[in-house]
Amino acid sequence: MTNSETPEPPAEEPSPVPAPPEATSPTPPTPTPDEWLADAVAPAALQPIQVDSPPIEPSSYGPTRMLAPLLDISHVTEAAPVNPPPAPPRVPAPAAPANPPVVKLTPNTTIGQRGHIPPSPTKAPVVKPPPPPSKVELQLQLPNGSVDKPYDVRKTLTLLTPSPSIEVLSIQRIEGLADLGLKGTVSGREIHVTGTPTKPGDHTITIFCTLRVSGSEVSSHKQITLTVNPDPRSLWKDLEPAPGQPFFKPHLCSERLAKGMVLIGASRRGRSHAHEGKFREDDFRLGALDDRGWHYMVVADGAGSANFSRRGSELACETVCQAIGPHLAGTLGPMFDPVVSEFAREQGDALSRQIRTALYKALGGVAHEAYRALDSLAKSINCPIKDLATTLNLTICKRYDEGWFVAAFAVGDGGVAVYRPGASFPLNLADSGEFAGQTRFLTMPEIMGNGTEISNRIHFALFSSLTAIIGMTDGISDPKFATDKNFTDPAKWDQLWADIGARVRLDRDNPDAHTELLDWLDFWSTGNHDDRTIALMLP
Amino acid sequence: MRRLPIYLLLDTSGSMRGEPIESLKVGLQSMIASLRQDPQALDSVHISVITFDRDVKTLVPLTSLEEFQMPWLETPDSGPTHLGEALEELCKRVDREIVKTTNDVKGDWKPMLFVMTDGSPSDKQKYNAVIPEVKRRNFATIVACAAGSKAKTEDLQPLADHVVSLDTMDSSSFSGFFKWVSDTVAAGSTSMGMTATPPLPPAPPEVYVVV
Repeated sequence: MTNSETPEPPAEEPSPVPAPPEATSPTPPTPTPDEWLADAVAPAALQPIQVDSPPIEPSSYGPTRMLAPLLDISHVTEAAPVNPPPAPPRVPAPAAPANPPVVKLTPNTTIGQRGHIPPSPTKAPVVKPPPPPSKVELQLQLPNGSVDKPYDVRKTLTLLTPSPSIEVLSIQRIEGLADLGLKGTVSGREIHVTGTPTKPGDHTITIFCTLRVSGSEVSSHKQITLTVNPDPRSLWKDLEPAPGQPFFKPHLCSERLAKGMVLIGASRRGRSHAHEGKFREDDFRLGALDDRGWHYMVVADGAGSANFSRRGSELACETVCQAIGPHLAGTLGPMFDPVVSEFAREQGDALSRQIRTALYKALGGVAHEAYRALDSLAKSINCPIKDLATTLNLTICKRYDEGWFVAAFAVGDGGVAVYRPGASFPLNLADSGEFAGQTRFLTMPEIMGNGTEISNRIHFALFSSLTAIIGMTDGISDPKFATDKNFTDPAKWDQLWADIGARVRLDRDNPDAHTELLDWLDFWSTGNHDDRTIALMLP
Repeated sequence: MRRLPIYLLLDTSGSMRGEPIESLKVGLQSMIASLRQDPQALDSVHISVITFDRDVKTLVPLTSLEEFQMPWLETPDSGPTHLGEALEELCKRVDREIVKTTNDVKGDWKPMLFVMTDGSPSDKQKYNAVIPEVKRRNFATIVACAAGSKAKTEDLQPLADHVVSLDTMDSSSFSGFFKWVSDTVAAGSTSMGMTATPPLPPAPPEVYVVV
């Protein structure tokens, strides 16, 4: 299986970079002649991973089925006032029957979901008229509210079990709403509850009403529970990790590097980690090889439940920085430049393969060094390498006379794309499983020990112009794109660009772009509270 | 938003009548209240309640914690404990309710399953047959709770990743168990990133982890 549960084999001595697969390996997306210099783009060239699961049928359970039965019921007797409330559940009398004696079931008794209308004690049960009831169960259920979210609900008070001799005439008043910031308006048998709840918790609301029971009017009341959810935003804690833990990492990090291109990056500990006093697990690095014109950025996302993934992501990034110089000098050096120029003039399979081979050695080699570094750290601290599990997303870019040459190696979720208004171009495949949170990691020998797996994770393209190259961890791609399909949708990238642009002056000359980016990372998205890391290259 | 689906299978057979069922309600209620205090859970947890005695009833289909309302738990006077049938119903519901990741859809977190029983399955053959089916549903974790002296932990071992037992069926036992469930769920809602099984928090004193 391809997801994260695949048990990683015992760490073996990492082999050197596997030989690049031969031409039989799947061809990666390469811009077609029409695309690479023109502003057209074909994200479709990046085929998403086939997920082996059938489409899910929409649930057939509508909201009406979602209603759980009532929590409490009130009782009314004709002659007597409201029955005493049932004993609290904690202290049931051992010998007491579960139901009050008045409720005796007979074969002819109609039983509601839990309402019992007992037969008349004096008459033999005949079909009609029904026996006068001695007990009534009223029903009214209010859906849960949430603090600071407007509440506007109309509900009618009814009998749990319809009875020809009992009728709900009207609601008199409601008690208990005002304390919660709510208002109840009564109209006949209907209440209309409006307002914005201010107090979280389970609140008891009492509804006073008038019934007609066998011809005479009776006052009654019913207690119901109104649950108000707290505002999740008010519940997040911001805790420091326990002192003395290894591999300290600051919660925030941002950087700007202006060397030819301007590179900016920012990383922020997620709310879920802050809430639990855990370290940030994401990391990133930016860099430039001045003498060769290459720029690079690497973002890494340490796996959520791997013990030392914060160090895994950091070490992977550090190793990339150390290894990228020698590797790029070797294979993407002066010999490479004419290949790109030639490729710009005429794309062909042979040229494309030549570029891919060079990139395989360069990017695959760098990634493999990162893998080896993680493996030796794991051995030195005596933990399985999966305790350092991290994704890796490495992007390089160089300006040629013919355009911007961009290449990426990516393992895991998150992603990278070349952004141009209306024409974004993703440079990685989705690496996700069938359930949320499942992905692949740099620490998996079955990936980093397999030439085809490595090669399939390298993509490149040449662009006549570009606005930015954007790499991110899933802390951003999840809330901003949600699905793999959206990640290939240029409109979604336009939205992201506008979204960032509203908070960050995305300008080469803005010296504060990286700190503004760090602030932007604090955006709110329900259910998305992971670490967030983003890096941009601006031409 | 990604959902963390939690399935609760609760024994409502006749032997649960009286104090046990009332204690169960209290425990469930306090679990819900405590989960509502967890911001991550409030954003992701969805709960379904299925009861089993002679009949199997889905009292609450998968419902967000925000909208969840306590179901009314009832016990018949006596009768069998159809756990096997309940697990069959569970499999059907999981197939219908759980969303898996596709190109167009963001999938749920792996679901979690908690089973509580105070006896042993009366439909033993069905129970044994359905276990592999349950396992195929890819639960992140399956916890079975054997409550009271009559519950047989050995019956639950083949089903669950973790079997816990409660000596008594009073409200402090159940509260302890449900507190533990909610801790497990809360841990799952934040750290289910990659592991198949979320780390189980240490069990409270009332709950014995059966190894």
